[in-house]
Order: sequence, then C-alpha cells, then structure tokens
Amino acid sequence: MNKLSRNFWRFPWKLKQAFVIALSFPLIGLLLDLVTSRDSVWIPQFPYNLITFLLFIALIGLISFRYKKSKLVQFLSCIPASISAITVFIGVLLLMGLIPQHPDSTPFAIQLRLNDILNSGIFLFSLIYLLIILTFTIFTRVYPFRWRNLPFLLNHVGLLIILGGATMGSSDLYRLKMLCAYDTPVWYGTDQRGKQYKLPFAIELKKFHIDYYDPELVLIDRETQEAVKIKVKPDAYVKRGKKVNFNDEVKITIDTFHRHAFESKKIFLPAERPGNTQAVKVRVYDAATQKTWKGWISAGSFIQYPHRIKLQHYDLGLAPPKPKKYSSEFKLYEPGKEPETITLVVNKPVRSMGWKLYQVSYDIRKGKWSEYTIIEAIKDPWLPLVYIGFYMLLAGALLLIWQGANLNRNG
Amino acid sequence: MDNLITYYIVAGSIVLIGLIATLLAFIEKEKKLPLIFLTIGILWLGFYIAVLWYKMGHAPMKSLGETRLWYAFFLLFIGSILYLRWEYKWILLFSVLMTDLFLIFNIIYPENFDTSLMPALQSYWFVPHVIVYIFAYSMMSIATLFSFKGLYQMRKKRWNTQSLNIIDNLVYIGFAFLTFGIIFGAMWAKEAWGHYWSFDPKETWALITWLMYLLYLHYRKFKNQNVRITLIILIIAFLMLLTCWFGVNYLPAAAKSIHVY
Repeated sequence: MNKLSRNFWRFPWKLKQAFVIALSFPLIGLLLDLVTSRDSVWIPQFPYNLITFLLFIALIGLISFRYKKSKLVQFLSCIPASISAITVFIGVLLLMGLIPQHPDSTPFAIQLRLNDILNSGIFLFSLIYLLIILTFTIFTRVYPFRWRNLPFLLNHVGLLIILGGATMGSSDLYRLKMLCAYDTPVWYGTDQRGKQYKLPFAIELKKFHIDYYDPELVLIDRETQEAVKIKVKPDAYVKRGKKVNFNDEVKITIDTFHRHAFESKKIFLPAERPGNTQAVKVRVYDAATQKTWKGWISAGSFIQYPHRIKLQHYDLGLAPPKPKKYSSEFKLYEPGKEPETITLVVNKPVRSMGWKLYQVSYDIRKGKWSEYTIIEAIKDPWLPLVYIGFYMLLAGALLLIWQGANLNRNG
Repeated sequence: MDNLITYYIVAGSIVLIGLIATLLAFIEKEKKLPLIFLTIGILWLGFYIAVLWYKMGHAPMKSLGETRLWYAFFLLFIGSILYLRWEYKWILLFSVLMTDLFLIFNIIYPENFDTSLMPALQSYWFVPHVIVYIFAYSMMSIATLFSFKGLYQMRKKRWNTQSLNIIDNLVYIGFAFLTFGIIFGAMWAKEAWGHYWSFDPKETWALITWLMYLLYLHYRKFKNQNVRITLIILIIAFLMLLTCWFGVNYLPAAAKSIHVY
C-alpha cells in the first residue's frame, strides 16, 4: 500500500494526481467550515486586500522563474492541472446551482453549510486552487513576450484580473439601501446586515413618477381560485371596442376604459387622486348560461376593493397593472456645491462623489401614490480593475473567433 | 404580438420553405436551388422580425416566444452558411427541423408572446446580450450534433478526425460568443441591478456552461486525450447550457431568481 502510494506520487504527475490535489482543496475548505464557527469568509479591506493579491502574484511569479525546471512548477502550469481546477470549480458551482442558496434550505445542506456556498471554504479553496494554476500558467508564457501568445494572455490575464479583483474587492464593496420619503434629506444608507453608514452627500425626494401598462383581463377559476390564462394572452390587453374570446366559453367586449377611476355606487368615474384604479366596463357573454353580463371590473387599489364579474365557472377580473417605467426626482446635495436636481430611472444610475445611485423600488402597495422610493447607493473602488479584465476577455474572445477560423483553414 | 394570424402564416410558410429546401438538398445534385429557398426563408423571417420590431417599438426579444423567433432565424442562417460551405445535408436537416420546432412551438403556445417589457429590461444592453447568446447557443447546438454523429461513427468504426476540427471551429466561435454574452450580461447587470455579478441562479448556470466549454477547450490541448471523452464533455456542456436556458426556471434553487423569462 505504502509502496503503491509512493509510486502514485512520483513525478511526472498526470491527470489522476491533478484531480486528487484539486479535490483536496474544497475538502480542506469544507473541514475548516465544519470546525470553525464563522459565518462567512473574511477578506481583508483596502489596502491589505490589494497587497495580498499582489503578493500572491509576485510569489507565484518568483517561484515560477526561480524554479522553472522544477517538476512541481511544471505540473502547476500544465494542462492536467488546469483541467482538474476547472472541473472541481464546476463541481462547486453545481452545488451552488442545485442547492437552494438561502437560510431556509434543506436541513442537510444547512448542516454542511452548503446553503451559502459563496461564503464557504469550499468555494474559497477551489477558487484559490484555480487562481494558483491560472497564475502559474500565465507566467510560463508571459516572458519572453511573443505576439502569437497574445490571445492566450488576454484571455488568461483577463480572467485572473476579473476573478482576483471581484474576490478581493468584495470587502470594499458597499451596497447601501436608502429609503427616501418626500421632502426629507437622506444622507445615510443601510447594508444587508442592517448596519448604517453615513454618506458624503444627501438626497431629497421631490417627485415620484410611474407609468403603467394597460391592464390585462383575467379569468379566475371559481373552484381552484387560480387565474386561468386567457389563451391569446396579448389580445387580453384592454383597448376600447376590443373583443376577446376565451375557448368560445366566454366572449368579452370592452366598452369603456378609465386609466384613473373611482367607484361610486357601482359606477366608475374618472378621478385623479390617491387610490385611484384602472377600471373597465365590459359586456360578457357566458356560454355556460347563455347570458350576457354588463358591468365594471377593476383590480382595486390600497383603498378600493377589486371588482369582478361572476360567471358560471369563472370570475372575470382585471390583473394588477404592471409598471412600465418609474423614476424619482431628487435634489442632490454635495458639500460646497449648489443643490442639483437629478432623476433616477431603472437602468440609468447617477454618479455622486464616488458613489452610484440606483432606482430600486417603491411602495408597491400604493404604486403611483407611493410616499417613498428606495434607492441603492453603491461604491465599488475595484470596479475599474474588473472592467479592464472584462475588456481583455472581450478582446481575447474576438481573437478566438479569428483563431478558430484560422485553425480550420490550416486543417 | 398584435396579430397572431400573421404569425401563423409567416411561421407556416417558413416551416414549408425550410422543408422544401431540405428535400431539394437531398434530391438535387446542385446546392443552388436549396440555397435560393433558404435565402428566401431567412429574408422572409428577418423581414417579419423587423416588422414586429417596428410595430412593437422595441426589440422582439423579451418573452420565451420571441427568443425562439430569433433562435429559429439564426439556426436557419447558420445552417445555410454551413451547408454553403461544407455541404452537410444533415446539418441543414437539423437546422431546419430545429427552426420549424421553435416556430411551431409558438403556434401551439401563443401565450409565449407577451408584449409587456419590465423596467429592468429597458436597456440598450438587451439586444446585444440576447443576440450573442442566441448565436452562441446555435453554434453549440450544431457542435453537439457533430459530437453525437462522432460517437455514432466511433461505434461503427468510421470515425475520422476531420470532424473534430469542425467541432473545434464551432466551439471556438461559440465560446467567443458565450464570453461576449456573459460579459455583456455582467455590464448590463451593473447598470440595472447595481453589481456586475450576484450569483443569481441564472448567472451561476451561465458560468457553469461557460466553464464546461472552457474545459472542452483545455481538454483538447491534453496530449493523452480520449476522443470519446472529448465528445462526451461537449454533450454534457450542452446539457448545462439547456439547464441554464430552460431548466433554471424549474430548479428549486432558482425559486428566488431575478432573471425572468
């Protein structure tokens, strides 16, 4: 046995040895997770994270140049090592992709802490192995520089920068939620753990605006209380004079449509004030009873009940409106500057003093009449580095297309 | 989708054109006639997508139904290019059948079309992100078919290494597009959700897919590689891709995903 294992570990190491080494990394991580009681991986903050990252690269660079001929160094930059590192990392990601990643996951997962892979030793250690192999591989081709190595370098260095930058930078990343009520300056934000931070600027909500799509008609099965899909769903969007059929069972004609309405004695009248709702006057033919019904339907709001029409098997109602676009207008206060008016829209963040402000949410129950809006303030000083990695990888991918085509021409 | 009848007519005619082209490819010696039909099909579908785009006022790419429209378009397109270049009739057959399948799927389930576009999707990243992914998926699906063919040939002892070169070619191009897709996605996420990567289930599976093809590329550089394993890696990679594309919606781990399809 002893002799066999000694033979197994005799150089040159191949795929089998590579996999044994690669697998030992997440296993060590798992053991550390089980014996320690910390609840997440700890990464030092600036400048110690940057120093750690640079030392990691410098150390590997030094080893790979000083011990170039060493069998171990050669192994760490060979293909079997990369194959093992990628495979094991895929394995860890599969755990992440298959096991629900939240505190109320399966008991088994919680016991092994597999419900928070991202903050586990398993993830960290398999990533470290991947980074070690990646860095050793890069150093075999970086010097002397050759143009034909360019695609290789762009792809590998790009990936190293992204993985390293994202991991080490995560401790300097701030994502703070700001709940902003009307006419109240807010200069602080709360992170996911509920810790409050002071911000260098302040924002004051002045206006909140929301546009809705026209509503959809829904049939609700009376027995199961489930919404039945109207087969031709897009046709179910409300337009005046429109006729909608459902399986020839229900035929609907739309007579009147109010975007903003209030109910008064079972009739909806147009009104623009808090709590108004979309309302539609319809004629419905119900094949089951061979009767035609007339009446108003609405989704209701935080102060109005929804209105439905009762048919033989179904209730006909209006789905709650879906937001098309929403935005918040703020007064932005920065020290030593005149207040400035900014508008925050989803997909269009605004910068202020090293922070980026994002429109996240609002009081969904009150919708248009929401009295506050939720903004996320994000600071990620490592972002430029990660983006350099992105651009390198994009350039590398372009060259890959060219290389692939080239390969074919030769073959 | 304003007018489903128009869709039925367009989809129906393209299904027919595709089938005629494939039939001609098998009967005729010249590849000119099938290519004429294919070109008409591609232009017709392209025209339909363009009109749809114009009418809806935004790119028709946000519902499952609309994604399938693009998938059909690119499959037909790539299938024709490959046929033009290598005259593989069975690739054409596969492309046409896949195209038809996607078009017919939308006829059977018209509710796949939904006109509302949620605020998070209203971005200029939307079109490039989806198009490069569809392109990558098309490449990978054809590469996967090649690997099935390869496994069959190996069984019949008729394997020729030339096939592996074509697979490499397809995977290199497909992988480059996967890389574009994942990075465009990350850049978009930064604009829309505030951070470029949050390990949302869809992101996790996209990364798994990307790494599986990365594994293929590395395994192909391995000196003692086994062709059968090479082909099997490719098939597993495609299974991951399918999981990322469709399966994620059904996984318990993805119940809280913010990627809506």
